[in-house]
Amino acid sequence: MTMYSLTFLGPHHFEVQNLLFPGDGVEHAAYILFGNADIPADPWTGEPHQKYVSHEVIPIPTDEIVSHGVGHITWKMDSFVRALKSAREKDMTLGVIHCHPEGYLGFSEQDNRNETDWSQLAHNRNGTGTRIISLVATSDGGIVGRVWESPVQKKNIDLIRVFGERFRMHYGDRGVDKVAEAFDRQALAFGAALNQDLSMLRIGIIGLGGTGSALNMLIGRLGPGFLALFDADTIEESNRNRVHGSKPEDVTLGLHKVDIAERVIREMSLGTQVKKYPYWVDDRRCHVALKSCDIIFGCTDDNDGRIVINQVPFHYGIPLIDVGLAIELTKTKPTRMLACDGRVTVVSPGEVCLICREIINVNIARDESMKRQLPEQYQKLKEEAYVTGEGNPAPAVAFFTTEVATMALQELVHRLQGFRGDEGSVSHVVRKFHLRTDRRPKGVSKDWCSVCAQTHSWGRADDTRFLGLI
Amino acid sequence: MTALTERDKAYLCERGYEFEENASDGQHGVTIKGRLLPTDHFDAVSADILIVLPPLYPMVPPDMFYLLPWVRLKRNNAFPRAADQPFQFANQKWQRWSRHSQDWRPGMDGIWTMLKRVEHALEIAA
Repeated sequence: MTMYSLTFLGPHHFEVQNLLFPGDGVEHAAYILFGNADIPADPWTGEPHQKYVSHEVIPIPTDEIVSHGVGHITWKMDSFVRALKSAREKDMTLGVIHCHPEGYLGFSEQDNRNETDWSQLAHNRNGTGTRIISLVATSDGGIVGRVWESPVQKKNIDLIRVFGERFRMHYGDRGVDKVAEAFDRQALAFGAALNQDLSMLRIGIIGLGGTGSALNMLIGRLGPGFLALFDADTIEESNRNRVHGSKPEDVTLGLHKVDIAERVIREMSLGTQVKKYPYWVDDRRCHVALKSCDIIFGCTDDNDGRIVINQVPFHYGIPLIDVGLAIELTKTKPTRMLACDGRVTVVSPGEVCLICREIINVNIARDESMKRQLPEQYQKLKEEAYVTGEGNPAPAVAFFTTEVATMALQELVHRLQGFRGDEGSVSHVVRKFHLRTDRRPKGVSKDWCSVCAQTHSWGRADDTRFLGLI
Repeated sequence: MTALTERDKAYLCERGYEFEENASDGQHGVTIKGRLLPTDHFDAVSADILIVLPPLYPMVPPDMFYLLPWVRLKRNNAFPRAADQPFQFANQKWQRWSRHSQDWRPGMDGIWTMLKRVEHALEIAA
């Protein structure tokens, strides 16, 4: 059976909240265009999954509202027809959200009648098979939704995510599941709902080297329901001092890093279903798994992989928690550590992307991509000194990479559960290990940036070009 | 699959460029057909311009450009600086112009940026 889920990008949710709850205590409504992410077979369950991602909020013009009060709202359908036209032009799905200020989190009989008519209108105008989404929100933050597959067929949306400064999950029976004994102590610290949220989550880890393997090992013990591991690299002897779970024979056997990470999760036997993808993340064999994730961790040390995953939060509404470690040494001997920086950056609509933070160098990304995809040409250009960014291996130490992984997971858990309090979310933190201090440099989106400053790709989801790239 | 973005194609069409997209050995390229070269500068009046669009374009920039036929400077019958190496693409040997820029603004830059760089490189060729 098809699973339905929906993601609100943080800025869209903020906009909707302002439209629905202006403080007058009466019903309000708005339209939302949603991008479609079609997953023919979920990597873990094998079932089809239709994801919707908010793309644009369209207010209902005040002069089209006929009447509204504490328990009703009526408006003319002209704007609905215009919104349907826009949905068709953009190949998106139209949603209608209204609020129940008195707090009833569900659909009334009147809602059923209205929405049947809307679905019929959508079929008449945009063709049979046109789906529409209806949502109800309450002032305490509750939200439920359903998909009208036809005027006589509606399905509940199984999971609604709101990904802003906090990551909120809405689904039936949240917080009522019994916690497995293995997670009792964690539930004592964070409450039972966190475990249930985690068990719902599909989490991707891109890069299973020093930091990624640490993150994998630690997240496995948090109890996520589903993990996807992406890395084309095989284990080498020089990795073994920091790849958690690696054994000497793994090198001899030429195992991929994802093989080792999968083994680590399997041997924990804590209920996580794991899938591995021994490919670079831009490989089309990763596409479905990547867009199936709810949250991804970027643990790659290359620029071309980061270019790809930097797009994912904006196109598909999948937040990226990106990590990195940079150790700077003196160029002359005896070498001395000048800086040792561990970084955790959250990338999501409303936050600053990795290009604007100058974490990605687009020229190096181009050359790295060529090295993987066109090695002969790359070699020729390298001989002519026309490629950039190749140098000696970067220094790395297991306790630094592991601490950065821990920082990233703390950010995830805070965003889900809120243990740091109202102002606790941190978009970008650099831990200066050598100075024993944390810095939080503010970033600014560059006005030309098509990733984080311009909104046309936000919630675009599936498109003729995956993530807008070749 | 087309490698040019919709914005690229709209730009080329609006400006009246005659162009075609090709793929060769896993690389995508766009050929701008029969562009007039700066007057009295080269031993040819016009040439086709090839721009190779790298994987991850348009988030990452193209590098260099290529001409066919090969051109020499009229004043000394020599190849312009760093424009004497061949580049094989779509069964033809193109003249590689090794021109590089570190500036690329994903979202703002596109095929128009490259064409301006090509025009500038041809204007100042020596």
